[in-house]
Amino acid sequence: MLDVRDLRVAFETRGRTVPALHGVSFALRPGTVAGLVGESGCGKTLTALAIMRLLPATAGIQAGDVHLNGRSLLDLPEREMARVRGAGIAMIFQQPRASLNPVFPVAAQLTHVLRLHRGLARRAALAEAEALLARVGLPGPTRILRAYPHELSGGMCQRVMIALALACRPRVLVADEPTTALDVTVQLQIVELLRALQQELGLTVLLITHDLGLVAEICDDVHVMYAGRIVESASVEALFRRAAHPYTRGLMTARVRAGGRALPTGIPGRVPPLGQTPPGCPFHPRCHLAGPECAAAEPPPEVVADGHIVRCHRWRAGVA
Amino acid sequence: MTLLTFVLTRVLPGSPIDEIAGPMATSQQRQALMRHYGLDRPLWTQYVAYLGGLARGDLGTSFVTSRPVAADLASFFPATMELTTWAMLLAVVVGVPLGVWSAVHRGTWIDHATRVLAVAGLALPVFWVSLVLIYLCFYVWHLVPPPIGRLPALVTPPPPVTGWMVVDSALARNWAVLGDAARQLILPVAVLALAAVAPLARVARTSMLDVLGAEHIRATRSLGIPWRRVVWTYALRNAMLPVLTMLAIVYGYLLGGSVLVETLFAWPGMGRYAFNAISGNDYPAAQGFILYATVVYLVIFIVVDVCSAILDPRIRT
Repeated sequence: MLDVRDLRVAFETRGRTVPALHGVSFALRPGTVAGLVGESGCGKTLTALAIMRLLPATAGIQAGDVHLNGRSLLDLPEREMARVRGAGIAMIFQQPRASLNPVFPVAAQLTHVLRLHRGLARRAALAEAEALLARVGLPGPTRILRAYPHELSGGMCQRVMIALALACRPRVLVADEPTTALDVTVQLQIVELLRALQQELGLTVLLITHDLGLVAEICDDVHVMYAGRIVESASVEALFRRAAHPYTRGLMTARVRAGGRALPTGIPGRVPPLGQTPPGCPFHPRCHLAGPECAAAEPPPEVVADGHIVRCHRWRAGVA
Repeated sequence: MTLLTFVLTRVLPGSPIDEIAGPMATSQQRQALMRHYGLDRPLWTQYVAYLGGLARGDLGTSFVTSRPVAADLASFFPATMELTTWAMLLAVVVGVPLGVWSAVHRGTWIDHATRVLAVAGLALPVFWVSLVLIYLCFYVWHLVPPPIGRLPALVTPPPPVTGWMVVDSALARNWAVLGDAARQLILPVAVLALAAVAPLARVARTSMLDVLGAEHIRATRSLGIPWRRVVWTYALRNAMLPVLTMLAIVYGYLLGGSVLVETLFAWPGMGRYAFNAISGNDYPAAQGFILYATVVYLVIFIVVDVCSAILDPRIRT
């Protein structure tokens, strides 16, 4: 389905090249939900934007490839890539209100997308827009169509964004922290909506989040990112049963559990800033298992079990 | 406002009597003229009389033209209005796309070239550009008619309806005069537009860059809407708000009359009228002009506020 291979992205600032993604590889299985997990600044959003080819002007793809249904997206001319966006892969964003153009009513963008991608006539597009808004659970779709983003709540904006993303019937949906900016109760509703739509439409979803609870709830596979690398990939069951990477285990213990008595223990230190990644394994300065080999060389991917891959020299020491 | 201009025009050195009476007048004649125009009365009674006139729509009578100031303004205003409006239209049509284009191609040679052009438009003195253009386009190449006002000599103007030569001649279906009037407009409009393009292009570029970096533009692109449509439909509308404000400032400034351009092209407009009024100590005319300029600014800014509200729904609520 969507296949990301050895993706390398770097920022170019004042003649200096600062690498941000150091060879990210993962694949999405059709009709499943994959989580991309990690702390802020580890390159999750950058990965998503690179897949969409919507990186900021200062960032560029250095190497690697992205395949959608066997077709390489990075070689496509911009005009054809625009056709893939929306119809092939759609995306929803972290800040729902900021993602909607403030000076256009909801109807304007929604019908434009429908007419562009599905060739609907004006009247048909309007009817379809109303149906879409109803489908994403917005009450009074006719009223919403006339509304401007500032007249809607954050949750409503995110529902509108989901309607926009689904308007072109994409097969892959990239959801970049779709609930982070919302109230807890609204978060639940949006998650429920995404899960329902995913099952109903057979969508393949890449869910970017730092919320392991959310991952446990709706993901099939998980890819854990650290400092611009995928450090562990596994199915949700395997990861929660037996996380191999010390960073993943750190994330798990850092979770707050309802009813738990113990305070969550964090991971000491923090994500190294861009351009100051330590040599060897980027996690070794914060790792309680680190040994001399960890500072010397970057660990190669190792297979823990079928479909469970980890990049750590000493994962055996931790798992035992 | 009226009090300020009233006092200011009067405390300036010089007296209108010098102009009216001429250098050979005796002191009795001067006294008689002072009494005739009411200039011998205390300042505050003069001011009250002036305000009383204003309330009736009477701006006083010009010492120089001996006509009511209101009538003078009414005849000079359309000339400036026509010249300025065509210049602004041209400046918007050229300046805004130039700014947008420059923003989209940020940092490339296109961007640098348009910026140099915009700065050149600001830096070149208007009178110099006018003279060079008159010399080349009229004298050397004979592309445009001589700079002698709104119509060539011996052409009968169309019956005034709006006061705009181009519109009036079109209304009168007098196509020959329409062509004549349009040709007279070419050079002065071009000169004024050149000065107005620079600020418009700069504001358009800056605000476009701002908008293009916004998250909703990325979201719109993620929906597969082609780049060209994203820029010219979705981003442009957001970017127009600061441009509109700059437009109002430049338009208001130009409507105040451009003395240099109007003088060089013998254009019977507000700039020349105001210049003559102030240099000749023509109190009622100068006061009338300042009042006119204030009203024009207010009207323009009200119109811009209304346009902004149409463009941006957030202002409405």
